[in-house]
Amino acid sequence: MLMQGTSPTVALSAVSKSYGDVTALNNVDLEIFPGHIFGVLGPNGSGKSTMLKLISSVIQPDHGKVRVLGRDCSDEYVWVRHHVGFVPENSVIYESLSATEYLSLVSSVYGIETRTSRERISALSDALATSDIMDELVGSLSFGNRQKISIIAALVHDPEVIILDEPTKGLDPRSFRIFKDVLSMLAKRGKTIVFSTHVLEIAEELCERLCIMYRGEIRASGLVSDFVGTGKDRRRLEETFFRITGETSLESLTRGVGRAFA
Amino acid sequence: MIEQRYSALKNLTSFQKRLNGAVNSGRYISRFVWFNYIAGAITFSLISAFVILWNGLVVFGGDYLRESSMIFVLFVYALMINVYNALYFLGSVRRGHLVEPLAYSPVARPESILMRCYLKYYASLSFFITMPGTIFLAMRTGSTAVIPLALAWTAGITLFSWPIGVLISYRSGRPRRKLGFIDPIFRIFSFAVSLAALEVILFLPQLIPSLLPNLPSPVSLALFPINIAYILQGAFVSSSLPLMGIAATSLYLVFFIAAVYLTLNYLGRRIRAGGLDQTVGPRKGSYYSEPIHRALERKDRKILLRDTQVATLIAIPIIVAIPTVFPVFLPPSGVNANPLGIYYLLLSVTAVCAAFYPSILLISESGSFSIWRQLPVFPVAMLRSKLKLALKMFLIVVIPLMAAALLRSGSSIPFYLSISAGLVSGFVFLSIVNTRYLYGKIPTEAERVNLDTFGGNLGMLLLFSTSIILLVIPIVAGNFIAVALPVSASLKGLMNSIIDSIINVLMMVGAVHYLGRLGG
Repeated sequence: MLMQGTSPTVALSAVSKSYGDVTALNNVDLEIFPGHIFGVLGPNGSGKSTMLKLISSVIQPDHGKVRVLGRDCSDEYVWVRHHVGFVPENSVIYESLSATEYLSLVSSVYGIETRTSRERISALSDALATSDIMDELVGSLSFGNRQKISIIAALVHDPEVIILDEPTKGLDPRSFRIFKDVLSMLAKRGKTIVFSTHVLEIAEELCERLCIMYRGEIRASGLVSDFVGTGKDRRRLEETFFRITGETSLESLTRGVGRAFA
Repeated sequence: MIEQRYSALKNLTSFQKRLNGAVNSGRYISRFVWFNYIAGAITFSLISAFVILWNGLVVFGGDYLRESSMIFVLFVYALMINVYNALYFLGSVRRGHLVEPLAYSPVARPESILMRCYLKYYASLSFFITMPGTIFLAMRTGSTAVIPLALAWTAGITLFSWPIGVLISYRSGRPRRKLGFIDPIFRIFSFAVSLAALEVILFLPQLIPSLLPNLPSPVSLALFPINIAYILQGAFVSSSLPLMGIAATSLYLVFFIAAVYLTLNYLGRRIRAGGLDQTVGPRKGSYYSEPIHRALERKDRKILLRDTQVATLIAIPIIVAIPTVFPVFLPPSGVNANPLGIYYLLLSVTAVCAAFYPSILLISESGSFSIWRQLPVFPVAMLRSKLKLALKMFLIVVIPLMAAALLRSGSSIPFYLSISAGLVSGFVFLSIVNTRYLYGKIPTEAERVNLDTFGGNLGMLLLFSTSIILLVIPIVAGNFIAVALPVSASLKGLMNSIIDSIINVLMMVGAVHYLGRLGG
């Protein structure tokens, strides 16, 4: 999967991460290149969030190296965070601050000029329809609106690499559509976008490349067309996903539930 | 409480490991809660015994009137602690969204469960404040009637703290109208009157019980909580007064129960209407970008002022310091307080503030702690902004105390200048050490920070004890050096405080240098 002539924006080499006795990632190698939208798929507990946190330098690996834009995520984590925008799975925002206050804090931490941050936040909040809620305290916002504020916070410093952990959760159809368009536009401008999702249709529609994780390992990685085929051989991504993750007897499980509630 | 502890631990590797291996994981968490409860009970019992034994016997020489006035102070203290506990508990419930699972469950009155938890784990501790002193008084006077009365009053105070806590917690969260010109003046006036009342209670506790017998009975019995002292004192002054006391106590209990019932209904309506989340109105503001240290401090300040639970925690040092005020400001005779006693009082306040304020400022991050692992900020920048705010909070607490002490003791200006330098540098040194220690206790995987992340009340008690020891070391060193110096006896006290201040300043410089080496 190496691309000739271009350096990878994100590179994981032999990366492992455990939480106590639980191995979240096991000897993972991965390279992601600029201008790509890269999808990370996998069932719950497969290690997707851990991998995205490692790339965002939120956590450090136990073994192996994680590099972003050529810098080591463990040694130069502050530099890496300056160049990465991260939307976590569960938006964690100060509940006692208003959305405006929180985004102002984020802008200050990134050292963005007031005028620039005001322009960017206004544009993003208009696009995601959050202009009316910017003065509300975050604690009183709905899950979807918090997610939108989290997305704005991740994009406000115009990062080179954008990491999104299940970013579409809670987004309404309008915001979802705009969000997809914005991601495509940013990728065309050379940004690297990595996101995880459980909605296989989104990955199929949006990504050029993706990987499927299972039990802390990358079981398959490549172009979307490698997974779904082309022309007459085209199949649903879901079929490939279940085959790789070993979920082949779903009907019998459904029948079991039916029997239990009969 | 169990939920709070669980929130602090749930994502941690060590906790998951223990849970996987534990025979009874529920017991593992609840054991910690009871440890904390026992620590609180021991602390309060010691405070109660200290206030009664020290003031009643040593300072006041066994004067019944003053001794009973100390009981009165303990009851006021119990009420303050209870209101604080109610605010803390209700704040935890709101912040952790703990009532939501109850609202979805087939539970008839989730608000009753909340109140039972509060009474069991928090409010019941107030019996350990009032009863040791009361039992001691009963033993000395031979009047056993005071024990059931004190039990009834403690129960009453315990119950009464619930409606007060609910009203402050949830009514303060209503959307606010625009403040008019008169509002700030009214607020400042109310605050000043409350402080003045507290000052009267602390400085002249014997005044109220001595005035009461001169009031007409119906008036004196109707004054809450003043008539606690009247009842306790009256129980051994006249045989008819206990009966009147019982009647008045019963009336008050009925009133407290009615207040609890009404607030439970209010809470129930709030829960059924969609939960206990505060609905604070919008905060108008425009985007700004400013230097990082200013942005971090502004954020901490806003959270402190807006979050009931965190704002309540700020009061801890003041509440904890109150018992130490009595022996200092209530000397047995003479106008002036003992300067050395004032010095020790200020030291204890410094130790409490240095232990609590860093932890409060870290706790204020709460469920948003993981933001700091996403933003490009060195941990030291975050800690530095918190330390600056902690110092400002400390100065707000300690400057009025120092001013009062200066007026009260009549000591020399050089003495106060030197202890001021010693206290401030001691605070800076201790708060840096404590902040670094507490930050190190936050596990790398932690997503939420609360009091239990640092070991709960027990952890705070240990931190406070260590702070006291660290503060005392320069004093002891200063003592030794001052004794060895060839100066007159009258100058030794001043020399001691100067040497202590110099050592504290040196330790502060060392701590600041150490903090700078952490990076950023």
